[in-house]
Amino acid sequence: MSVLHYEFKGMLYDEWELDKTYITAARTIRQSDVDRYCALSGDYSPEYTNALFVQDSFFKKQVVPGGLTFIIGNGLDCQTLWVDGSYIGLLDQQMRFSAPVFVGDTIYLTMTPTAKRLSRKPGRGIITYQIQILNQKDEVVMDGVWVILMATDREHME
Amino acid sequence: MSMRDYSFRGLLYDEWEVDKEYITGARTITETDVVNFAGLSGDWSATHINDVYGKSTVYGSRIVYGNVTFIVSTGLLTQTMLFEGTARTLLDMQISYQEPVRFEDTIYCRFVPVEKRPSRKYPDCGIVTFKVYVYNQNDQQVAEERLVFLVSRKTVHMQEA
Repeated sequence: MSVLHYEFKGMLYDEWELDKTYITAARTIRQSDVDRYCALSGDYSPEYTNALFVQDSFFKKQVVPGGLTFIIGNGLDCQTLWVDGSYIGLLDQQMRFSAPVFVGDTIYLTMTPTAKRLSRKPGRGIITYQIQILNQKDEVVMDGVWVILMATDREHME
Repeated sequence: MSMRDYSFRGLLYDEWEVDKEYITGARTITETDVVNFAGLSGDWSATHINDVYGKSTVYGSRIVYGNVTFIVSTGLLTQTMLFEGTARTLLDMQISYQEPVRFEDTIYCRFVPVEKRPSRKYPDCGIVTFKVYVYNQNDQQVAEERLVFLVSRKTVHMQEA
């Protein structure tokens, strides 16, 4: 028994069902997540770091960076283990922001495979997903399309 | 004089010139960024955090998350101050990834406003679409982005919270 014997739990290319909607667990976004996001990205825009910068005509209070909602959505997806060891790489991600997210909101993600095709290189397939990120009121806060390169065979560490 | 007199330094809608090229500073992506990202996002994919697995992949090593490249690029953009206080919200984004980014690679962005139009919903704002090209230290393009921002037409000041 060694580190090399771990069996990855992700779903392979063939196991993803077209038009089936997969749903993740949820996560509440805290102020500390926003702080860490600013520290990591280097983006300290006043929209999320300056309480006096009130968006009078917009949201009335500080919003969560769109990029943070996006990466937490990504993390929720990975925590399901659906792509554990089967995900090879991200090819394309498109997201539209449809509603603001505030600190204290709880978000979850749904993903629906809409197209699949095998790559020319063996062992890989390309899956296109319709993605939605929703809040505690089931309002869509972001939606879009991700294109992911997925393994067709169980990979092992060597 | 008070802090409310500060004028945000971002460009207003009318000041963005279509097809003019801008360049950001550069940043070296370190392993620390990758670990911090894993902790923040909760994405602990083996491709990025398991060195034994990374060596067995097509990349031959662990690689940096595509989304680290993305969020660092947004940081580099905002650090130009050209968006400070005037880019009010991000409406839409698209990212495609061309090359993996490896630890200790240094990335920077070239960006170009490609389209402008007034906002119907928010008369004091306009919508500006940017193309962003992210390069590494060898000037290889690692990612390409399309970002759509709502941008103020009037100088913005801080107000009572």
